[in-house]
Amino acid sequence: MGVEDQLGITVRREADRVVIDLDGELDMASAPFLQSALDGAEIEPETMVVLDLQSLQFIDSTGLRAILSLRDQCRERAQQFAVTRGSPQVQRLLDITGVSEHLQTPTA
Amino acid sequence: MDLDSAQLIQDLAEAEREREQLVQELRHALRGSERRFEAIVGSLTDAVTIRDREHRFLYANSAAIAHLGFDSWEQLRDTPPAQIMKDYLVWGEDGGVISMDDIPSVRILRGEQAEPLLIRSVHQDTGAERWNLLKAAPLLDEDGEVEATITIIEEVTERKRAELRDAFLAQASAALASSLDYEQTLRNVAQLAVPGIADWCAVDLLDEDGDRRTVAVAHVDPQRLSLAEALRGYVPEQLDPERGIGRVLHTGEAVFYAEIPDQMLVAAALDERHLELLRAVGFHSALIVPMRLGERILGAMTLVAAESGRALDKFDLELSEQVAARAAVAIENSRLYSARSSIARTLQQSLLPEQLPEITGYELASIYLPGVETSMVGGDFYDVWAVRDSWLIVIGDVTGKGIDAAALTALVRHTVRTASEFDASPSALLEFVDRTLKKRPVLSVCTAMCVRLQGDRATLAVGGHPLPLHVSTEGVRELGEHGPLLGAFADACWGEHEVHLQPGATLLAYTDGITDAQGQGGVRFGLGRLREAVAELADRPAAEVVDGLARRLAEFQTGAHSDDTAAIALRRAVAGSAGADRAQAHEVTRAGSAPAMTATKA
Repeated sequence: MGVEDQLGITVRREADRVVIDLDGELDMASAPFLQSALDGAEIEPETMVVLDLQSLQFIDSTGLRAILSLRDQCRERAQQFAVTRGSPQVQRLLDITGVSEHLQTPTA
Repeated sequence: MDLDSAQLIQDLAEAEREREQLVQELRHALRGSERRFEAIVGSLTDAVTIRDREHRFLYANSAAIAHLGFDSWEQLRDTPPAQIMKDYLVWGEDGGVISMDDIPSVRILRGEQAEPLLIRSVHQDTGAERWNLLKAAPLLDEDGEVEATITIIEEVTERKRAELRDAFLAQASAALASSLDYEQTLRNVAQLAVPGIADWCAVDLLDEDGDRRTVAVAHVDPQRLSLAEALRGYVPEQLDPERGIGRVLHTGEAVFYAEIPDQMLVAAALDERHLELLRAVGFHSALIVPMRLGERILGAMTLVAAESGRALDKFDLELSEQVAARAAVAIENSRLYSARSSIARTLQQSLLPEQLPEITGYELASIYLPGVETSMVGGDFYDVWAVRDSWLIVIGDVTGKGIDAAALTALVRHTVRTASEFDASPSALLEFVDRTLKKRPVLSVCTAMCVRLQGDRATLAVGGHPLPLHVSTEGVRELGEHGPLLGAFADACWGEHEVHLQPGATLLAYTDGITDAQGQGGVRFGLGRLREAVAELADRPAAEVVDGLARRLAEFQTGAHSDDTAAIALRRAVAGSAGADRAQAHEVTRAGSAPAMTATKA
């Protein structure tokens, strides 16, 4: 199974935000694709970027780092960054590492 | 003379007459224009032939006469068709043998449509190889019946060879890029070269000591390879730096023998037998190109044209140089990769404590299993050291792999050790590391769990890391509270948790490589299995706990683990046991990544 199959990335634009929807596994192999998706999304400053993890099944430390990196990049571009809750096993890691506590959750 | 024979002779005579008649009619039809026809067609460089219904020649221009190997029209005309190609071995583009039935003009006579046919022919005596494209069309009589066929034979040898060269270059490049096992890829490349580019292809490598080794010899006929074997016996220990491969390896410049006359073989032969072998190869033309990276000569590639009779030319030389250049890069990449792997392994070992210290009244044991990417230095680390009245244990996971991660690991270990001189409390240590990481220009995060041991009191702080387990005969429970990752968030802080370790109780710290390990069906090992595994080992010495855990993990895991795996067990020695009076330190560190592990005692 190719890496492309392990992580599905969908970028959708909503009224006040751009949502990057992740499906599958975000780990060492697939994390670079997340970066490419952000690069390719061409999001204007002042737009909120929401990372939707609800369909994400697995994440490891590399995946976490990728999320934090996205946060930093949004900060540099004056974009708000928020992360939704993930599936139970993903949420577990987000809780353990303090990501869920320290990163914004999207409103509505 | 019997009746049948007489009839036969009559028929032949009739046929002859019909043929002559046909020729006359053709001549008549071309009357006046016959000269023009001859003027146009006669001097074409492409061979043009016209054959009758019996496939006998009615007309052949001079190019055709020469192409078919005859000296005159009369000779050609009087030779039965079946005899004409007998001196040649003929193959189609795909290497399949071509018979008369496949020839376009014959197919037309059978009433079939006949597309152009590309054939490769080799003369059985001279061995000369040619590629020709045969195009045929019917000549119809007034009733629309096929009366004769006209065939144009286009010489496409050069064009075909150019195509073969391009294909070889593409395939060879792909083969070289396909794997790090360069000896295998070089063997594949040599195989690809025959017979399209040359009759023989060989590849020699020079190792660091300058010793030469032949890693590939290819010929389309495997039986001929025994010749090459026999010839190998004649290669001198010290190659002549003035000639042949010796020269190429010495100077880094290609040598090209467009023609190899017998005198050359005689001069090169060491004895009669050698000369026999050399002649048996049938050398026609050869080239040897260096596989080179700048000044460094990694080896050489040899092409020999022999029985096919073709002469290698400057295009072949150019092609070989291009392939040899790619081969050199492939070899270098592969060697660098191996070197990096061993550097990485060395680095990795230096990032772990050389030896676990002995802590009085305690048993200490650890396992470390590096991730499968042998060129990547893992991110897991642990350390154990003493500061004044305390022992400190830290375990963590630097996110990322590679040399950068190794550097970060070194930084964290160094920082935490230094900081402990000033304030050995675990939460302060995590804070210090966190601040240090945030000062770096790039995002640098790590997880860490830190334990301070003072007597029987263990104080711990956890930063983004799995909670350590407390294991005793009473059960397994997690210790402490989750704090955030280090180096990630502003306003991060960590709490401390205290526990008193009873004799026989074990504190087990681990990294997520254990819980993330995958088994059948992609199922993860998980905290549940981990708890089960250590519960069974609750009153065992620390060494057995880690070994048992490693074994459980090995049994569970399918495939090699891609992530680092580490665990460290600290057990308060039981009074009266071997460990009580003197500390025991035990570590299991496995280099490499064999998934099927057997526990070994240090």
